[in-house]
Amino acid sequence: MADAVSKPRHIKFRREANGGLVYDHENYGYEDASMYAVSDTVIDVLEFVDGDRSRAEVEAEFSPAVVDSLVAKGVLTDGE
Amino acid sequence: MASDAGGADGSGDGSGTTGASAAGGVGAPLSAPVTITWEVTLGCNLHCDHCLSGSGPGMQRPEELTTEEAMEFIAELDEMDVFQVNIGGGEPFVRPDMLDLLEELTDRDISTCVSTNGTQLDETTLDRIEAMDPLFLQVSMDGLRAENDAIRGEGVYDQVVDALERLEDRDIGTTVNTVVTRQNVADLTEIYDLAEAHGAGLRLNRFRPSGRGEDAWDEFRLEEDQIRFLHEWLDGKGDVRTGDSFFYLNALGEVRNNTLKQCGAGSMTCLVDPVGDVYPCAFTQWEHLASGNVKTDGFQAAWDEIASLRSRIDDHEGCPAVAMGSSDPNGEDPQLRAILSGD
Repeated sequence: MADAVSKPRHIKFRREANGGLVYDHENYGYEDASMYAVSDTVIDVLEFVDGDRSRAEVEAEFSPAVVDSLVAKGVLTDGE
Repeated sequence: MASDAGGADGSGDGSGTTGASAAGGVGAPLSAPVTITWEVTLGCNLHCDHCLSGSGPGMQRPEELTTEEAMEFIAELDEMDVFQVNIGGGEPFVRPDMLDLLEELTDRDISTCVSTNGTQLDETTLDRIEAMDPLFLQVSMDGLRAENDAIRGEGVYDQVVDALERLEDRDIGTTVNTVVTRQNVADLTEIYDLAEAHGAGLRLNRFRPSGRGEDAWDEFRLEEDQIRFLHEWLDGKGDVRTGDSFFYLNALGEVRNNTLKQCGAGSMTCLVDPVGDVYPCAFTQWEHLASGNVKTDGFQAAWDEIASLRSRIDDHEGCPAVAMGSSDPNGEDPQLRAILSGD
């Protein structure tokens, strides 16, 4: 397992009044992108990762299951 | 809208991701659009018969955003966390400051997509564009040589192919954009092959009765058998990108894929015109749907106002721009209606 996790550049996010949005964009136009309404937890994780961060730190702050889930969904990727 | 398969709430992992909805994403008006279309000028070196904005040579408006105003607007977009800006016009590259504005956007890590007619892409311009990230180019081609040049002007097809050839070896994400018309729909496979041969994707846009397209509506709009052909063709071309809610459905009215294709006008996206006026989308630039100006009101105020206009747009029957721009008194979308009911 990689020691770090990071947010891919094509993943963007922001907090909204209720939860937040994650925008996964690799092509032209919002029609070609995917967007998720996410919980506050996801935004908390992405803000905590702040680009890239030790996987152990993220797991300690949240949980291994959350990290595994976000990596599986491509919101986070395994880093070095 | 949105949504890809993603995870679902209740999965027990706490990550809580769900597809967002068209009318509000997270159940309430968004604090900012997900993406905007910014028509940076009405000036253009071409004068296309179907131009949605009615732009052309000498059409720049004197009150178009200055460089300083445009930079302030970009700063506000960044502050609001707008994810993506789609640049259009007119022809963006007739603005002398266009590359500076694009650098400002990409330096702020705002995904930037530029729709261009492809005739202004000299090597110096491409050198600067290639250094920008994230930036994507969309080059217009509305048919093979005869059909394209009949709409866009003599010799334009060859200029666009030349641009595609020069883009081929560059690290610039490029898409050929085709407005599907009665005249070019039969050539889609050849257009697809041409784009693919140059390492570019193909994106189809629907022809709408907007700008000069309003006058050309009856000349260019698809006939019913062509609409059916188009949707059958699309079913076999999963990698072709499409640009509006119309293509979100297949010929049977079923959801074609899981990308963001439902109408997000005024709820997830909006248009900013060359003078800074804000509308729900590029095809609904009507006075009764205007919602402020980025120079005089600020973009945040204009966006906040647009949420109240959203209730006046009914996208249930298809693209409201087509519906409202058509002569159909019931406001239905005649093309989508033909697909769904066989009228």
